[in-house]
Amino acid sequence: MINKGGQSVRKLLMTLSLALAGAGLIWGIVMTRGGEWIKTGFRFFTGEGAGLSLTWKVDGLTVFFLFILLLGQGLSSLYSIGYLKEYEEKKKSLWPFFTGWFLFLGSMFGVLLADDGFSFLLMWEMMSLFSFFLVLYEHEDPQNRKSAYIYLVMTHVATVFLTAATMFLYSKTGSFAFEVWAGVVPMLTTVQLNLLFLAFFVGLGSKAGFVPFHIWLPYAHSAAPSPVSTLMSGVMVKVALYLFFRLVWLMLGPGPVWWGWLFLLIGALSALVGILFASVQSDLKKLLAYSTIENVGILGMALGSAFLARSWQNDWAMNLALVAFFWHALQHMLFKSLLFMGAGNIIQATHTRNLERLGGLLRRMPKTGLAALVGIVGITALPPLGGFWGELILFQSLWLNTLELTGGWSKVFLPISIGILALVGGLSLATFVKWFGIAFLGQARSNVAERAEEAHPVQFITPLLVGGLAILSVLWPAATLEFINLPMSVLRTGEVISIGSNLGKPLFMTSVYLILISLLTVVVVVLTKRGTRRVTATWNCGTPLTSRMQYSATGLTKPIRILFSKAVGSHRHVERNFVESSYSLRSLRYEGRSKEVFEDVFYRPLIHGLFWVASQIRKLQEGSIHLYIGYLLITVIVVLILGR
Amino acid sequence: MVGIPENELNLLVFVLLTCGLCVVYSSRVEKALFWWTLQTFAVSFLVLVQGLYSRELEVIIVGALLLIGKVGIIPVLLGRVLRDSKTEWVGEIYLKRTSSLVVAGALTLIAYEVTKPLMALPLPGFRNGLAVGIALIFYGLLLMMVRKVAIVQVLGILLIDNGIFLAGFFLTQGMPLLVEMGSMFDILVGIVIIVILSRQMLENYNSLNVDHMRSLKG
Repeated sequence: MINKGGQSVRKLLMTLSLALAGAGLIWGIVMTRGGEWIKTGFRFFTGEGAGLSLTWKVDGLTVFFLFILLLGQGLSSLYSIGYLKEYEEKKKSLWPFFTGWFLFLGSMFGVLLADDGFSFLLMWEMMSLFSFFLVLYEHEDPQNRKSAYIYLVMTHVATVFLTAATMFLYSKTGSFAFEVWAGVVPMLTTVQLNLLFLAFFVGLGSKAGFVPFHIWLPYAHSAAPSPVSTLMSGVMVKVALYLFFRLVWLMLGPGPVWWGWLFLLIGALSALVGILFASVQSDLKKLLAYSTIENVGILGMALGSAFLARSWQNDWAMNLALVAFFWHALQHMLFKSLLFMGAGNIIQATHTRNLERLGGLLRRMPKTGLAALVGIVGITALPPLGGFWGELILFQSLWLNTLELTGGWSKVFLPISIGILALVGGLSLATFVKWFGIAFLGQARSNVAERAEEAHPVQFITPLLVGGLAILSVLWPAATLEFINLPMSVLRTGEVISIGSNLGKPLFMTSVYLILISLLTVVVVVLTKRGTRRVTATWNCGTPLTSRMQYSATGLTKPIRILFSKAVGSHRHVERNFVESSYSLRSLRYEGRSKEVFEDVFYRPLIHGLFWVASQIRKLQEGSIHLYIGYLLITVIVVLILGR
Repeated sequence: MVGIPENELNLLVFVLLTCGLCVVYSSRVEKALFWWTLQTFAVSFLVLVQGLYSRELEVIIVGALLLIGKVGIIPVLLGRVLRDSKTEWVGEIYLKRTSSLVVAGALTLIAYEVTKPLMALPLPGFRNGLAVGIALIFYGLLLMMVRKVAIVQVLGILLIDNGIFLAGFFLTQGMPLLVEMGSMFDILVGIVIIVILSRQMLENYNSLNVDHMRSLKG
């Protein structure tokens, strides 16, 4: 009876969340059709001149990210209807989840709408706090507690920087309103402006997951329940990136050229580091989390390209970079949500996140597998799906930036970043071949994988729906581009050129292209149908096939691990046990692990340093009476001398 | 005001300062206790003489009380603990006796320096007395800092007490009887408590070395 009550509550609340998202989307689509407020912004609930009133504003830029938020909310709510069933069966209270869920979504909404520093910080902190609670939802596992703790610490370090920037601007203007801040920016000295930028960069970049502030992300995203990972990875990092536009692009202005370079450099670094670490992971969700870092890196590169083009007044390249950014942000939200949902299905079916224990799931969970395949094609930037177009436009923008230059080192570094982007693309292909191949293909590597069953219908319908949306966004690019035009109209200063003329024809040809591909597929299918098919077992020298003959997850990406061993800090240890000669093995033990290089190089020394300082300070309080009396003596003397 | 002659006062102040330095310089606890007793005797003598010269009964009573309470009871109590614990040496840490003497000298100079604004006192001897009082407070703190036997810490407190008493005496030319009695009972009760605690320490650590108390640190 109680169980049934809980069930209806789960369905009710998640449907409510879904309905809210749906209503928001429809209302938004209706509202955005025409209207000058898209460009100028529409304020509401603004207090009259009071410094501390919470003010909110919507403009085209906000609408785009609101759309991403609502879409993510709707999809993950739908997915949760199925996913949360497991907790119910385990008799785990869902109320902490529901509370965190709604407040997390609400606070992200608030961050997007905030129009003054105070409400921004308030909502930002709420967003951090409630996502922390959601990460901590499965707190029975000590690993999850550790992850949540790392997340909390990192997010607060980030907030320190944002608070500092906010307080600085408040002290300069006596107001929290973004508008007033924008007015005072031209009066700032170069040093102040750069410091402000760096504070925003560190604060927002930590949340977005830029390297080297990314260390919390793989932990938190993989520890959270899958619907939450979907939101964090698909939406929350985008909210942080949105603020780069709101606070840096629109408020701090074009800035010096090195801002763009910083974005490009950190973006390229994040993309490379993210995908390298993803490739060596054998944790189903951690791999996806690292891939999020990669994609945030790509978005960072797009930002960098846009900033550079803006400072070089290269409108064409800037527009392309911005289109690439928004396009990729949308696509990444879709694909990453999809993959996290797929991962959630696998985890619920097998109760393991270790790739080495999976395998052969395609036969047992065909619908999840199909959805995941769509997601992988998208996220590895394979044509014809959206990931490909986004990266293509980014390539074009970087190249255009290069072309416009007359010389100098910039002309060398930009093509290098293009090369890095290409390398990242290749590595991501390898990574996701591993992810999909090891999990879904071949034979089951463990009992749990053998017993896996297809998830609750909602749980494969939702990812398939996401895949459908992703395909739709490419099949109907005009609508997607029209939608991307919303933020573009806010961000572009000067002449507004339609995106179509910037991109030329290729994007509009997509539909044609897709029709060609489907025709090709039909032809291939028809051709292969002919002829005889013979189904037999694989020949294996007469011995039975076992799952141990397959590639392992570790083995599959071994070349990458060896090639980049310094970067990923891989370490291997092989223990061989021979029978008589070195030709016959009795047993072999392989131990390989990759270190968190950034934790070792960057964070551990920092933490050690902090502890050292703390221990030095602790020496003041040594527990020795003599020392305390010494303080007393010195104090008495000083007081007497001062009091003369 | 009628008081002891300048020369006698200076002599007594000299005795007080020398006894204080001797306490700092002692390497045996017994000796330190002896020097402190002598100093306290000098203090009470000073008070008594002052009382006799100025013919004030209250001051004479204070002096008598000092003589009984501090010169009589406290050394006996401390001496007993000392014998029970078989402590002999003062336990020099941070500073040896010679160096502590140098530091004590420096502290005396500081004491004279910080009492400079009070030069307007009626007699030069009073000024000397005040500076020596402050110096004795410093000695007490120094002693507590650089010696590790609990009894010496107590001696440090007693030195500070003497110093405060002297400073008060020379600044106000004799505090009211009630205040004197209050402060004396204060120190007496304090010493009794410290003696009890020292016995506790003896039971627990089998020595009066305060370094053992470091193990109480959280």
